[in-house]
Parts: sequence; C-alpha cells; structure tokens
Amino acid sequence: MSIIYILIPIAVLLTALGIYLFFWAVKTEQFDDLEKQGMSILFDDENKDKNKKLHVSSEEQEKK
Amino acid sequence: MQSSCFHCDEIIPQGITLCVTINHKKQPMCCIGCQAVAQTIVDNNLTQYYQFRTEPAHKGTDLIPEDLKAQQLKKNKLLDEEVLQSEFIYQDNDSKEAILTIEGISCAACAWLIEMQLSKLEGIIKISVNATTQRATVKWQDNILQLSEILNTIEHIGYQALPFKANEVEQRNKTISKVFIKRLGISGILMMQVMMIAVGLYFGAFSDMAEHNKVYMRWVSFMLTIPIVSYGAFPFYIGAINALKVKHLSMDVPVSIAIILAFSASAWATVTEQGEVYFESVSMFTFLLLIGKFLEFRARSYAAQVSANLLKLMPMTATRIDKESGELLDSSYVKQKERLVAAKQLIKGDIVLIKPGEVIPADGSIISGNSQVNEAMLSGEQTPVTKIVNDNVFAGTINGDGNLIVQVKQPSSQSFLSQLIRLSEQSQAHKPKLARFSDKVAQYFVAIILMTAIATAIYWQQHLPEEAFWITLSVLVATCPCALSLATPTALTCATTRLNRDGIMIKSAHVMETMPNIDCFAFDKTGTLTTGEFAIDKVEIAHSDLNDHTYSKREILAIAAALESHSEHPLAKPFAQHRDYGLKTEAIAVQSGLGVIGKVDDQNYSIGKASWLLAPKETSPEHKQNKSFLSASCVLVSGNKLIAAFYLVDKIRDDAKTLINDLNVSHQTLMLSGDNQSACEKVAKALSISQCHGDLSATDKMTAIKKLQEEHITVAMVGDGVNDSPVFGAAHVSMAMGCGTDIAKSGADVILLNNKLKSISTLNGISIKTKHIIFQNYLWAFGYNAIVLPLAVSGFVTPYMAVIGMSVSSILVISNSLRLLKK
Repeated sequence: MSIIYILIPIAVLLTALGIYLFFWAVKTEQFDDLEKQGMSILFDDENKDKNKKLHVSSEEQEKK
Repeated sequence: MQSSCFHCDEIIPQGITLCVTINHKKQPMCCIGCQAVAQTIVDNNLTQYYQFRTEPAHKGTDLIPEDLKAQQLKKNKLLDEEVLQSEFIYQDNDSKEAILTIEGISCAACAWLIEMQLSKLEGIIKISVNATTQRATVKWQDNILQLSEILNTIEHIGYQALPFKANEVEQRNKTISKVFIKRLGISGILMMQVMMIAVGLYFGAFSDMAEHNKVYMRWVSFMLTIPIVSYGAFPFYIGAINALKVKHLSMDVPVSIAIILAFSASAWATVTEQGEVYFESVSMFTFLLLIGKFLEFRARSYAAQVSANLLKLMPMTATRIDKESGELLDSSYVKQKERLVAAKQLIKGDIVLIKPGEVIPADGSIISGNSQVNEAMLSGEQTPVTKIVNDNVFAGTINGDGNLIVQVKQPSSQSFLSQLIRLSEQSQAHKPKLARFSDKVAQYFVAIILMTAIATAIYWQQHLPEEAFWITLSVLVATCPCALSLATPTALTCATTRLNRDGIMIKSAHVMETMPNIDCFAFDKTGTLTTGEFAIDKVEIAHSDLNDHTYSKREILAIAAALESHSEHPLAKPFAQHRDYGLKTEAIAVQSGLGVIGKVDDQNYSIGKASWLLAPKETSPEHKQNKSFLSASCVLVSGNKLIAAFYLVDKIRDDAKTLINDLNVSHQTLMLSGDNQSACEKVAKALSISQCHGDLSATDKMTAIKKLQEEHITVAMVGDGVNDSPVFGAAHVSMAMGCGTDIAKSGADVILLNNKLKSISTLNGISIKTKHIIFQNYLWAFGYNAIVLPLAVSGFVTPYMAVIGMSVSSILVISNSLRLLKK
C-alpha cells in the first residue's frame, strides 16, 4: 500500500497541470464561442485553399 | 431551373434572371444585392462557405441606388473621425481595437467567411468573430487602414457591421463569467480527486486499512478541498454577507453555513485523527450549486447580450448647411455648403437639410419645404403628420417624401427624445418588485435548522458530551440545503432555455416568478396589437379595360408597385411584394404628400390620394362613381380614368385575437395607446379588449399603470415604441416586441424576438408550470429534510447515509426541473 505515497502526489501534480491548462484556456477566451471552434475543423487552411483554387483555375484555362 | 435564390434561399421575383458561377455551376440569384455578394465571395476564393453553411444567408442589400450607397459610405466615413471614435475605440500606440456588431450572421460558416475576408485587408492585426453573440473584435493599424474600410469590406460580403460599445453590465458579465468558469473548473477537477480518494476511504472502512494510510488520505483530501471551499465557494460567502448586512436571510446563508461547518469539522477530524470527514460531500455540494448558479447566470447574460446587440451605435448623422464665411443669414441659400456631421455636434441655430426617408437629427422648426413626418415612434400614431413651414419636428422621427430645411432649436442632449429616455430611466429605478419566493423560504428554513442544531447540541451536551459535536454536525450535513438551493435556479434555467428556443428572451431574473401573479395585461396598439405596417386590405377595380388593354388584378398591383417603389410613404410599402421587375418605369415624379406620377411600359399612370386624383372634374359623368372611391387609401389612375382603388389598413396581428381571448379568461386586458380614441376603440372592439384608453402621452400611460398598481393590481405591459419605455419601468413585467424601437427593448424585461403575440400565452403557461415545478422541488426537499432531521437529531444517521440522501434528492430535483425543457 505504500505505493500510494508516490501515486497520489503524481495524481495531484497532474491535477495541478490540468488546472493550469484550464485557466489558460479560459484566459485565451476559448470558452467564449463554442459554436465556431467546432466548425473551424471543416475549413481548410487559407494557404492550402488558395493553392488548390489556383491550381483548378489554371487547369480550366488550359482546357479553354 | 431552381426558383429560389442560391444565396439567400428566397423566391426569385418575376423578371429577374441573374446568376453567379459558383464552383463551376451557374446558380440563380434573386437580386443584384445577392449577386454582388455571391460574386465577391467567389472572387475571394471563399466558396467553401456555401459548402459548410447550415443556414441560408440573409438577402443581399436590396437594389441600393448608387447615390444612397454613396451616402452610406459617407456615413461610414464619418466614423473615422476622432471625436466619434473616442466612444467605442480602445487605442494602443498606433493600433486601434473596436467591437463590431454584425447583422446577418446565421451560422458558424458566416464567422469564418468574415474572418477570412477581413484578414486579407492590409493593416488588420487581429480579427475574431463570435458567431454566438454576432460580434467581431477587430484590431488594426490606424496608419494603414481606416475603420470605414473595414466596415465597407464587411458590407461587400452581405453583412452589416456597426461599431458597438459593450455597456457596463455586459462588461461586468464577461468578467464574472470568466471567473465563474474558473471556479467551476477548480471545483470540478478537484472534486473528482477528492471523490476518488473518498472511494478509497470507504473501502478502507470495511476492510482493515492501516491507520497511517487513512490519515494520509484524509490529509490529501483536506489539501485538495481547501481551494474548493476558499475559491470555489467564494460567491456564496459574498452573497451571505451581503444578505446579512441588510438584515435579511437568503439561500446563500444556510449554504455558506453548511460548507464552512462541514469543512471545519472535517479539518478538525483530520488534525485530531478522530471522528468522520465530509470532504467529498463539501466538494460535491459546492460543485453542484456552482453549476446551478452558473447556468442561471449564463441564460440571463445571453439574453442581455442579444438585446444589447439590438442597440446600434450608429451615430445619428445630419446634413448641416454651412454658410460661406462672412456671409450673414440672408434669404437665399445659394452659397452654402452641405456637410455631413454627427447629430451630437449640432447646436442651437444650426440649419440642417433632411432628405426623404431620413431620420430627423434634432428638435427644430421647419424654415422651408413641406413633407409628411412619421411620428409613430413618439406618439404611436401610424399615419404620417403633414408638416409645413414653422411647424416643429422632433428628433428620431422619420421624414416622409419631401425635402425639409430645419433650424435646430435644441441640442440633442435636450431633445424631446432624450427627455423620454431619461424619464424611462427614472421609472426603471423605482420598479415595483415582488419578494422572491426562494428568499422567503430560506428565512424560515435557516431559522428552523439553526434552532434544531442548537437544541441538539445542548441536549447531547448534557447526555453524551463526547458525541455531542459529531451528532450536531451530522444534523447540519444531513439537512444540507443542497436540493433546496437547487430547487429554484435549476427550474428557472430550464424555463429560460425553453423560452429562448421559442424566441422569447428573458432579461430580468424576476420575470418567471412574477408572471403567474399578473392580474392585468396592458397593450400598446400600433406595432404591438397591430403590425405597425399597412397592408392591402381590398382592391376595387373600377375599369379593367382601358387603353385597349384588359387589366388583371395582378397587373394592376404590379403597376402600382412599380410606381410606389419610388415613394418613402408608409402607404407605399405594402405594394413592394407585388413588384414585377420586368416592368420599365420612366419619368417618375414624387409629389410629396399626394402621390406618384410616372410612365410604366410607356403608359402614363398616377397613383396617390383619392382626393388629389379624383377631385377636380365635378362635371364629368364618372364623378358620381368616383365619389364612392374617395374613402380609398389610394387610387391608380391612367389619363383621367380611374383603374383601381386600394384600401389599406394597419393590420391587426393574426394571433392577437386568440391571445386576447386566452387572457380574458383569467386576466384583465387594457389598451393604452397614443393614437386617437376612435381608432383605438375600433381595434379594442375587434379584439374584445375590456378597457381602452386613447390619446395618451408617455407620461399619461405611466400614470394609468401606477393608478392600477395603487389598487394592488399586478400589471404587465406589452409595447414597442419609445413612448412605451417609461411605462415599462412602471409595470411589474414589461415585454417589448422584437421589431420595436431600441429604447423600448433595452428597458423591457422580456423581448419577444419572434414578434408573435402568441408568445405571451406561451410565457404565461411556462411560468405557471415553472411555479409548479419549483413548488414540487421544495416539497421534495422539505419532505426529505423532515424525515432525516429527527433521525439525525437522535444520532442514527451515519455520514454515508447523509451523503447518499443528499445526492439522491439533488438528482431528483434536477431531473424534475429538466421536465420544463420538454415542449
């Protein structure tokens, strides 16, 4: 049972880390708009998107 | 072909063939506005928006004539001026930050679209759009970019942005909300740890756990609970202290007592290594209560945010006529310069030009021109008032279709409008309140518990001194008011959420408790019981075959609509839906206060007042017949021949009748209107409203309500106009229509966003149901306490039983409240 003397402090440390991260998330306003954050994964990144679109349009021009 | 617009999903009117190529496919558009917006989106490679949006976009700004658009740009430009910016901008070296409210955000994809479009602008440092609150926070470099450019960019993709200043309440709410989330997080995360260790301790109680292990685990739980009771439960202590300061007992008092006592006793048990610990109960109790409080707070602050969004901070602008320097006030206005200034900057004696459709910027008197002014905002009277030279006009009213030159009589801070606003603020401060049920309950509850606990302590002190402290403590823990203090907030939160879904915004906390006690419902007429907009009630066709052509009703309406689209008169608006864009109009002339003359498809027509178009030729044979049409609201004439007469009425809302019938069963109904008595009586009769008062000013309305209250009648007021705002402060519950004026909405307790009167029945029903649920919750919480109290007093309750009992009764109360969410 003496293992709890090591395991519980580890658990407490992890908890402290969790609370720190939680506070950071609150501070950076990640809890303000839950709707948008959920949607953001659907959109491609801007740069990647631009390249793709440019690629498509150049292809189109070639066809013409 | 698809018949609805790809962009806004509205039906495409006849005669429109517009389209935009989106992702290599031609998509139909309903108007130039939508086309322009969609084209901008395509040009900027943002078509992903169409892929992921969950709601159709709002209709693009409809066919803005170029000059009006230029004026809008000019107005935006005005926002670049330092004087005005100081109100809503935070400056930081050479960068500026502002919050914008954005109209037209319908889903999260819109937020993405705006962020993408704006981040392409040079000089933008930071942009984040919040789809839930419909706001954007923008930070930009002032030397590269102007605010007006940002606003214009947003307008190009079909949204309307306006600078916004969060009011104090809201700013406070934002900080409170952050602290609340932190407290919840701390309590939640630590509670889980404490619970985990508690499981170990429970098992240890049954199997033989070494004493040093037990002591160790108790110490760890003790340490972990300290932040919960000190930081997490802090709001309860503040609430309790505030209540005690005013010699009052609120629910926070027993909650704080229970938390502090249970924690100190457990701490004492840990230090002295004897007795029982209640750390897990304390943590769970605090966490549950915090959740309840937080949800209640969030529902309310969301309503406050939505209603604050409705208040726009577009500074009212005025076109001031500046005379060239050195020139005196002479008769002709030839050498003048028109300048767009903020209405705030106007001073007494300034001369302003007011164009058709503009809002009058200040109180003043007309020095030239005549027009019809819509004063519905102040008086409730919908028909425009004819104003000629030397008549007074008031700030906030809307000019009809004539140009006016007005001399300012009072600066805007002393205008009639500002006076009304001040009056409503004053009455708001003296709002009558009914005592909250939960606070009344708390008073008795605290008294009973404290007295029992003291009696128990004294009794056991004499009979079994070594156990006295622990038994007294178990009394306090067993009767812990967890379920009791969850009874009201959970029910209120569920009810508010349920109502939000139906488009009913609850802004004040007292509404749900006051609603079941309402005896009398008072209504404003225009805009509340009626739609506030004219509708075509009847079309009478006099001559259908004219100019070698047979007119159908549809054609007549289309011709009328084509002409009326050039007029700003409220009577012209209902025709808009009949517009056929295939008809060509030429040589249109608007006669202020009379009507419109013009050519439609190369045929001369005039539409306007019956007395204007039908009066002159008394000798003509048609005179007799025409006479019967004189009562029509407007007539359509070609040459000298009457084609059709239109009868327009301020339509009573469809659901008004059902609502009044519902209310009449158990309530008084009352109508308070600024409109003339006869018009009021007509509506009152149609709706069977028992009492009807017309010709009332804003102050009269307030006195009427106060008079009722002196007879101990609880009154709810439903209204929409500026003239209703002082009454809102006086009424026990005030409701504003979503389409009402900003001032009315900011003062109201409830906003009916969906503009449906039926919502009042819904609100009434839900509030009664909420009252029942709260009552049931209390019944259960009290019943449980009544059973457990004698057992605890006699020393039969072990800590496990106390904890289990507490949790079960809390869960029961919460599930009971959740029933309110069901339709």
